[in-house]
Amino acid sequence: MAVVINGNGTVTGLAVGGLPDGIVDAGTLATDSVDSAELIDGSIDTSHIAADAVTVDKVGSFAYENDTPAFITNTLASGAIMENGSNANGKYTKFSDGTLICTLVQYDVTTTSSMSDMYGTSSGTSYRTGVSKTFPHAFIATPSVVTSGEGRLSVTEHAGTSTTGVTLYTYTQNSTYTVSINATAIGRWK
Amino acid sequence: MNINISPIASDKKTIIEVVGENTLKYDGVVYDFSAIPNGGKVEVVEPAMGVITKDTNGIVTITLQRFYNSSDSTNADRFPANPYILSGGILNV
Repeated sequence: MAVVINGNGTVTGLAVGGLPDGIVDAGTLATDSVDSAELIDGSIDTSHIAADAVTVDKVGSFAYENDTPAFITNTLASGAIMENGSNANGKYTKFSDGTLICTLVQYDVTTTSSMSDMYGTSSGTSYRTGVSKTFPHAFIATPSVVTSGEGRLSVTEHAGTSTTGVTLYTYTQNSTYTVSINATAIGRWK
Repeated sequence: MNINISPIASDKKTIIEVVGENTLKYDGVVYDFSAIPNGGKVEVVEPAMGVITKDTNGIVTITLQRFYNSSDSTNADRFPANPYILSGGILNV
């Protein structure tokens, strides 16, 4: 088809592909002439978005999951697990609201020290052993500690709790009893 | 000096420096063990744990809490290969 320049300022007869590459550039397009209706699906992919171009302000409140915005808000705001970790002293979990739970490694101790103020009134009727242990994660204030003994008839307790450790004690009726001591500390990391 | 590390996660790092067989610095604070006789032991408080012992040759064995930054830690920070034997210098796990 021939290209016709009309008297009313228009040009007809142009076919798609009729313009060489580079003829239409950004300066040729009128301001706001290209909107989303002119873009085909998939035309904007990650390679066409500048680094850091999408900020929090550009993401709608329902963008993460349309059905559960409350879940996301509540989880991130208060109850989210910020960090799980472990080391030679045990395991810990840090929550976003400041709660810290430490579970110490189970320690096997054998009672050896004779004492007289437990099951009886004469020396030699009960035995005690204490071990000083470090929490797997530091607290900012002295936590609450719960202890228990496993494996033998025993009484297990703790003393000297600090922000970084605790001394665990177990009492039995025999100088050769071995008791597995469990301890959990609950407090705050911030 | 034989040092056993008791690791504890936090947002800081402990610096332990052995100055001599009877002296160490814990975050700059000097601890002197010269009063412990050879073959003796003494109960301690944090940052040391349990008891400090000194064998008949005068070698000190001590367990120390060591803070490490949980956001920037190594496996050795979390599970130290005790004991660390130093005659001087800063302890590197």
